[in-house]
Amino acid sequence: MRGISTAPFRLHALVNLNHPNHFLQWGWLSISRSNAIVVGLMVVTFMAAVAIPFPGHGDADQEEVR
Amino acid sequence: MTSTPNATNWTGALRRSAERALPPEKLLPESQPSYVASWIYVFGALTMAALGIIIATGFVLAIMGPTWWHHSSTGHFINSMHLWSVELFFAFMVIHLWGKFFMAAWRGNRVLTWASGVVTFVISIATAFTGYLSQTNYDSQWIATQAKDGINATGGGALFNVLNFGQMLMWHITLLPLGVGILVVLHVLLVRHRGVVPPFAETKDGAK
Amino acid sequence: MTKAPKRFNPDRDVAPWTGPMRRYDIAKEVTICFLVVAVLTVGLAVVFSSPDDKAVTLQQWASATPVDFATTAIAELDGTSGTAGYGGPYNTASPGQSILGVSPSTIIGVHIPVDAAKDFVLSPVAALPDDPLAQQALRSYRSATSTQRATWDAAYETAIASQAASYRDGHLVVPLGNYGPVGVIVNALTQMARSGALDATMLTEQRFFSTDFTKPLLFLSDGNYLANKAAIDHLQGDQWGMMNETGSWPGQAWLWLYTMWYQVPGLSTSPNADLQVWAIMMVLTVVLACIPLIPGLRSIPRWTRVYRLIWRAHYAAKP
Repeated sequence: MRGISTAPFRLHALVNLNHPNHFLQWGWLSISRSNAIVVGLMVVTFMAAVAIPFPGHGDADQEEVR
Repeated sequence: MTSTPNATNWTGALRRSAERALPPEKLLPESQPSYVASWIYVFGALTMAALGIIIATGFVLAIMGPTWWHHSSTGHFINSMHLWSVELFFAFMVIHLWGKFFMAAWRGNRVLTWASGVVTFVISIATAFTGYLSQTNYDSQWIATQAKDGINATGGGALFNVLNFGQMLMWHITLLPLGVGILVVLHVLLVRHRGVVPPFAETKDGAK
Repeated sequence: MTKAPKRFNPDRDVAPWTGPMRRYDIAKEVTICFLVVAVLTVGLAVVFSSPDDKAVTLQQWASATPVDFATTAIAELDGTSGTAGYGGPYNTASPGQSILGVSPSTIIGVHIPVDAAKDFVLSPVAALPDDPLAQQALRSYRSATSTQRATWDAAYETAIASQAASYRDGHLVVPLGNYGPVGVIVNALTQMARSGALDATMLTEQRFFSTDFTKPLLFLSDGNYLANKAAIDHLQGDQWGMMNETGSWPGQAWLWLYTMWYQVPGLSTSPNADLQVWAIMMVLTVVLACIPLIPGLRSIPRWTRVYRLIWRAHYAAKP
């Protein structure tokens, strides 16, 4: 199957992802490592967005406008 | 140049109702209620920014045609940008959705804002899907042959033939992006019209 | 305003905001967001590029696995292939999937007619200009009774399934049997496919310009070549394949819920799985859009109290 698995050229990607994925498996649940990383990053980003203080709002009184 | 409002002038009535719904200071306000102070508020703008990159890279791919990127390294790079901006778009949009859910952002007559966001999400999925079908490579072949069974079972396959590359390309580059674009504009105008949802009012027994 | 105001519901209503306002520059926010996403996108594209596995052709299939190709061809001819027995919108060979006794594909009917035997085997072979043997075989196949054809088809199906079946010296080699002209027809089609002529013929059957790959894709998907390649990349339906991508790239992770239903015991073996999963997803999508109107669901944000964290500065500032 070699003939069909490679594109005519690979862009000079710094990280080569053109190889079979790894799969995480729990019972009937299966997810590719790259998808798991994407979903994990989304959850981490969400938690960070909620937890990290938004800048410029420490001294609320000064900034208040009506 | 004064004019008396004329009840029978449709154009004037349209302008007055638009001005009432979205006066300029409401459309582009310079201040927000003090509770708008969290990084979670940035994800709507991030989603739109990713959409902008998707559209821009999509324009370049459209100029050169659907198979250009297979044999041009510039084309492949633009395709990579198109792919990664889509991954970012969905990630930001879903985080935005999580945030709005936990803030119950539909309160205070904002149901339509929420629903228009959900519909935009669904149409975006269809747009991305037809994009995968338009790659003109093994991935599109496989996805098309797999997806046909689902859509054929619903009867929709008679109209929406995922094995017809030309049809899927048209949906991907005209009809569906147009739908996403219109809905995003509507969604943003609704947000500006209603304003950002206030926090739950709290008593000592908790939220009421 | 004669109606009495509804009772205040914290999951539906808000009191108008009368508290302080704060400077906020939306245009600046959007501009910075755009720049950040542009940099992120370029960075990700430089670091990870994007996948592009070349499209599979009928020529590759017939060259790499000629016996699988011939096995598929005879299945198209005798009506046992996936496409030949598909039903709507291609033909009437199957009643189609149904839910609550209703089969939408049957109601809608045949809109993209596909006659597997004719479109995938007989017409392409008939298009071969300089093969008198194949034309002779076609004539005798077409003039035979349907019972005779079925007997030939079945005999060839047995022959090609034999361990001894192979492709040698430019021909399919199968054990002898009572398959009449079918051996010649399938052999001609296999050679045609290996030469690349079948790819062109199937695409331009209707006219010079074509952007519709329905027939070649259906034919490809009836064989094992495409599916075997997909299995390596975990792309098959029972491998959560819809959210996966070739190579090690992330795929359409947002399809996780749709593809999850196909793995759930009960649905994973259901003959009506496609229709059932679509029905579930349509209901869930409507539910998602209508959360603001559904008592219980719309209270989850208030119960989970994540909002306390998001608006902590607001609650801290309150006396």
